[in-house]
Amino acid sequence: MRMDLKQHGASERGQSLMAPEGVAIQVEVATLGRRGMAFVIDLTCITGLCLLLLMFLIPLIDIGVDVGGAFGLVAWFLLLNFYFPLFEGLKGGRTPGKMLTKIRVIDCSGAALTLKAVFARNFMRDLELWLPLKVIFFNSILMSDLPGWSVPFAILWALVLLFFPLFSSQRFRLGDLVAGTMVVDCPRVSLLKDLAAPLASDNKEEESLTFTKEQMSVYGVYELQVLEEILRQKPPPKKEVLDGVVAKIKGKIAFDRKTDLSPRAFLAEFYRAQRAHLESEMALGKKKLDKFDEH
Amino acid sequence: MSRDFQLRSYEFRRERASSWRELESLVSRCEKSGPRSLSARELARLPMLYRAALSSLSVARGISLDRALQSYLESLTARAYFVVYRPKERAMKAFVEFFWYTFPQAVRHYKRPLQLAMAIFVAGALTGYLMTLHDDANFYTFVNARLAGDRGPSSSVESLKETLYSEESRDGNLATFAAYLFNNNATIGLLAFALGGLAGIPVFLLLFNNGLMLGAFAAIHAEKGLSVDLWGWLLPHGVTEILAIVLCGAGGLGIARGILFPKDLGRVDALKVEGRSAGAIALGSIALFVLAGLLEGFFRQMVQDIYVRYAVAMATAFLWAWYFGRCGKGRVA
Repeated sequence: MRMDLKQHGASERGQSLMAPEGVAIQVEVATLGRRGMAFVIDLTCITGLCLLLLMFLIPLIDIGVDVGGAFGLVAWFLLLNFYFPLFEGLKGGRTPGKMLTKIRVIDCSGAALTLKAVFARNFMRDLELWLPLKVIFFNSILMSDLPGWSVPFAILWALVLLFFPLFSSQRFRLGDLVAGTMVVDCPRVSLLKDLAAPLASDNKEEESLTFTKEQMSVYGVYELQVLEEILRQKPPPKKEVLDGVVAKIKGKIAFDRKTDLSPRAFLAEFYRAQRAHLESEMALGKKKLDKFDEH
Repeated sequence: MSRDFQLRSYEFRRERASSWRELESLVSRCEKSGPRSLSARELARLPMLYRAALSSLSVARGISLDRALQSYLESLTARAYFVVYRPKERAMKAFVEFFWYTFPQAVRHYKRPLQLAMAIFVAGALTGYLMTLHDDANFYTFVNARLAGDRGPSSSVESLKETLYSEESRDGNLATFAAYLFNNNATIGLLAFALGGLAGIPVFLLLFNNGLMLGAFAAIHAEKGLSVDLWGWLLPHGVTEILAIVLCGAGGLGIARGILFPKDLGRVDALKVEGRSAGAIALGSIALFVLAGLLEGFFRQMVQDIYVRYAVAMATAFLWAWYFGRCGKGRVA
């Protein structure tokens, strides 16, 4: 089980969308930290845009601060309520803040995101964020007409609304539920070098390692991918660490021949051989998940 | 095991990497500057490359144990998927479609919540009216003193009449006044929509409360024989404004319907269906609030003739009756 999850690059945040081509596409639910950061960036953009607008408006018409303030209010209302849905609707679920934090809004079913959905999810913000904040921080003004015992209840209510996304593994906020949307990571992963590529030194007369079938049957996929992680680590791990890994592997697979290879070269060789072995086993339908798996 | 032996997954990757990279660059450009930044030829290649990458992904899941390769393909196909299946909506077209089809259709779909919201509002108005007639002191229970300004049960006929026919708005500039009105009303409207997320009870209260205020106002004018003048003052913008508040409330009730009575859909799916229609209604209502704000801010102060006032009120009523009853009928959006 553990391996199957790892295998497909998914974690407990993983969700899969079925593409019409019949292949499941894996996405990861965005963390609330990222979403919060995106929101703060967007809010900064809105405030900036509003101030900019005012700076142009006030001198343009000789109207005085009062009118400027009124237009500012309307501009603020329109920006606050339309900035998010317009960007999300027209830019594939991404506001500037979301672009920077590399997350996006998607339709839960994997269909194209509709304008209807993005408006619905953003119009709920009033209830989910602004109202609870007002209740928590300004309850003495807001609830001055109400009996005192109602204040703790109202605050509890506000906290439930504020922390609503924590209640589901998909981190749905109320607006997401209402619109049937979800916010996921869209990382840009670049294609790393294949560790099993033939080494540049391949044709030089360097010592070549061979492993027996028994030696190859000790470890499974999980250990192979841990080794891959070690080899790809940046900055590369210290020599002592690698020495330790080499010693451990040699002990485990009972490899007692002497080699002149550096620990890194040994591990690279071992990785290649182990991957070749496990992949050819896999082609025959035998998948050894980890060292405990008696396949 | 000899040195010349090449891994199948290595070969697999070597053969296809260039097409993945091509897809990656197209997707990156699309994400950055939109699909229109691609040439016709590139646009035609995009879905082909996407499908190839998708099949690479499913092969890689079967034959490769290279984690780096897998996470690359997972990320690439996901990004490409969202580019290939992006919404085809163009801003201008979406705008026209929305107001011609989506909005009136959503409202028709919401007939029941709309009737309910209207009933609650009217019930509030009647209660406010009767209770204020019964005892003037109730006026201040229903209407915030700050909102009422200098109008109240003790105001004289002349002072009430003066407000109804004043050419000066309280805040001086008409545009400013319109802006404030819009802001105020639209905020209440969106709140009425969003409160639906709390299963509807607060929507009842909000609608009822707004009704109470209207009723109380009507009562103090009726006592002084100013009913005809009051409605002439109120209805030209009021038809649109009250309709918009009731629509937002209906949207909220629709969401509550999805939460409380999901019928044969699951709760999550029912909520999604209701929520999207309700969102469309709230969006359309904002446009109504803009119109109401303009009518209230400008028209009300500039036109004093009671016949014209009633004519405009009738005209808006007919306009909305046609719009929500007929517009965009017979097409599935």
